[in-house]
Amino acid sequence: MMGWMHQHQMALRRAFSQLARQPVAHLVGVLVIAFALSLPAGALRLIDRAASLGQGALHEPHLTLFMAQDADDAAVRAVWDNLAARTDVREFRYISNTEALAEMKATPGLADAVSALDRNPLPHTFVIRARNTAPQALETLRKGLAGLAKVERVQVDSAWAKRLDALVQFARRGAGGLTVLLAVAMAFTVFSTVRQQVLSARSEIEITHLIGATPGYIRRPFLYFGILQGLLGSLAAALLLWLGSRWYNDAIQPLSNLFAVNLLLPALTLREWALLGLAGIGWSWISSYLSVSMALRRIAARC
Amino acid sequence: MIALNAVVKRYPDGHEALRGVTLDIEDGEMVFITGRSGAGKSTLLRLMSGIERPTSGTISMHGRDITRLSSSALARLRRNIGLVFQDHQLLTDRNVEENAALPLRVAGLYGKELRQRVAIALEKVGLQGQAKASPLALSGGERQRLCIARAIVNRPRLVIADEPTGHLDKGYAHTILDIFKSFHSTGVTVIIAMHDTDSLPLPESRVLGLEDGLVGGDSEAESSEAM
Ligand SMILES: Nc1ncnc2c1ncn2[C@@H]1O[C@H](COP(=O)(O)OP(=O)(O)OP(=O)(O)O)[C@@H](O)[C@H]1O
Ligand SMILES: [Mg+2]
Repeated sequence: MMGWMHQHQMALRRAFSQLARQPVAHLVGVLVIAFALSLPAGALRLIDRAASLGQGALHEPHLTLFMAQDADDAAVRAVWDNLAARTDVREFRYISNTEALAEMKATPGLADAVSALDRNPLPHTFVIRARNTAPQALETLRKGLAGLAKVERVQVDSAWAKRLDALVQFARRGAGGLTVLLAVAMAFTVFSTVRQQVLSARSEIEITHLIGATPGYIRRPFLYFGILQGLLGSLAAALLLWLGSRWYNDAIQPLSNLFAVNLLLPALTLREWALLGLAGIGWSWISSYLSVSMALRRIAARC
Repeated sequence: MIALNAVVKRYPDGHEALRGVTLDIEDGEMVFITGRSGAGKSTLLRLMSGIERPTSGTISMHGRDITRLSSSALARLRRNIGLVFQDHQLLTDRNVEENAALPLRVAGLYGKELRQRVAIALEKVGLQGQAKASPLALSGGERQRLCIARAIVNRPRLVIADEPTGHLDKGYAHTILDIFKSFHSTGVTVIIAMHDTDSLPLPESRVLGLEDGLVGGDSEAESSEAM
C-alpha cells in the first residue's frame, strides 16, 4: 500500500519535473488549453446574459388586438366570445375606445390634445395574455386572431425579444461549434506534448517494461503530466475568465446605467468553477490516455 | 519449475526461430544454453521470461501456464526473474546506482530499504566504488556486472542471462561466470545463453544445445530418458 502510494507520488513528481524542465514549451500548451476552455466559457456566459435580458421581456408577453374603426358592438362581442372560447388564451382585457380616451385624458400633457379632438380616433382594443409564451406559440395565436372579422391588427409586443431569442439561438450554435473546435485543438495539444514525452522516454520505457513494469505503471507519469497540463490550463482559464469579466463589466457599466438594464456579468458560481476544472482535467486525461496508449503500442509492439 | 512443451516461435516475418522445443528445468539448476548465432537462444530466453509469447506450445512455471497471462501479469512475473540482456539495456542518463535500483522502483520499493538492497547488489558484483558513475564511464565488463547487479537486486529465485560474457576476454568471462556460480550456490536457478562454448566452466553443469530452433543435445537428457 505504501509502495503503491509512493509510486503515484513518484509519477506525480516526475510529471512536475517534466513541466519544469521545459517551462516555455509547456507554457504554450497550457495557454492553448486555457484559451480552449475560457473562450467558449466566456462566450456562453455573454450569451446567457443576453438571453436572460430577453427572458425578462418575455416574462409577461402579451398581444394587443386592435379592432377596425368601424367595428360595432356585435363584432367586438364576436371577438370576445372567440377569445373566451380559446384554450391558448390565458386571460384578456377589453379596453373600449371610450375607456382608452378617458385614460389618455387622465394622462398629464395629453389631456389638452385629446380634448381638442372632435371624435374618438382610438380603436377598441383587447390585451391578451397567452397560455404558452414561446415565440412560435405567440405567432400562431397572433395569426389566428388577425383573421377574425373587423380586426385591424394584432401585435406581439415582444417582437424584439423574439429577435433576440433567435440571435441567442444562433450565437449558442456558434459557441457550440467554437467549443468543439477548441476542444479538438486542446486534445491535439495535450496529445502531441504527451506523445513527445513518451517517445523521448522511449529507452526507459522499453527497459522498465522488460524488467517488469506493468502498462499502468509505465502510463502513469505521462497521464499525470497530461492531467497536470489540464489542471494548469483550467487555472489559467479561470484567471482569464475572471479578468475578462472584470474588463467587460468595467466597459459595460456606463451603457448599463444609460439603458437602465443590468448587462453586468455575475461572478462565476462554484458550479461553474467545478465544471471548468472538470472539463480541463477530464478532457486532458482522455487525450493523454489515448496518446500514451498509442505511443506505447508503437514502442512495445512485441507484447 | 520451468517446463516447455512443443514450443514454436514464428516471427511476424514468417521466420521460425524455435520449431518445437520441449524441455524441463528444475529448481536450483544451472543450465547453459548454447548454439551458434541465430540458433534461437535469445528467443528461447525471451519466451521463458515472458517478454514474448510463443506462437504455439506451452510454457509453465511452477505448474502455471504463462502463455495465457495478461501483459500486466507477465510484467509482474518478470519482476521475480533476474534478467540480463544481451544488449545490456542500461539507461545512460542515470548513474550506476539508479540503474541497479530500477527493478526495485518498478516493484514499489523506495527509501532506505531500496538503498540498502542496491548497495548489497553492487557489492556482490564489485561495483560499490562506482555507484555514482555513469554507465558510459564503465568498461564493457563493468557494464556487464552492472546488468547482473540490476538482475539480482530484487533477490530473484530465477536468473536468466543472455550472453553475459559476450564481448569479454576469456579471463573476464570466467570472473562473470563465477558471480553466477555464487548465486547458484545459494539455491538460485540460473539459465545462461552462450555461443562461446570454450569459456564454459565446469563439465558437470547442464548444457542444452540449440540447433536451428530445436534442442540438439542435452547433457542431462540421457539420465532423464533412462528413467
Ligand atoms: N524480432 C525478430 N523478428 C524476426 N526475426 C527474428 C527476431 N528476433 C530474432 N529473429 C530471428 O530468429 C532467429 C533466432 O534469433 P535469436 O536472436 O534467438 O538467435 P540467438 O541464438 O540468440 O543468436 P545470437 O547468438 O546471435 O544472439 C534468427 O534467425 C533471427 O534472425
Ligand atoms: Mg542472442
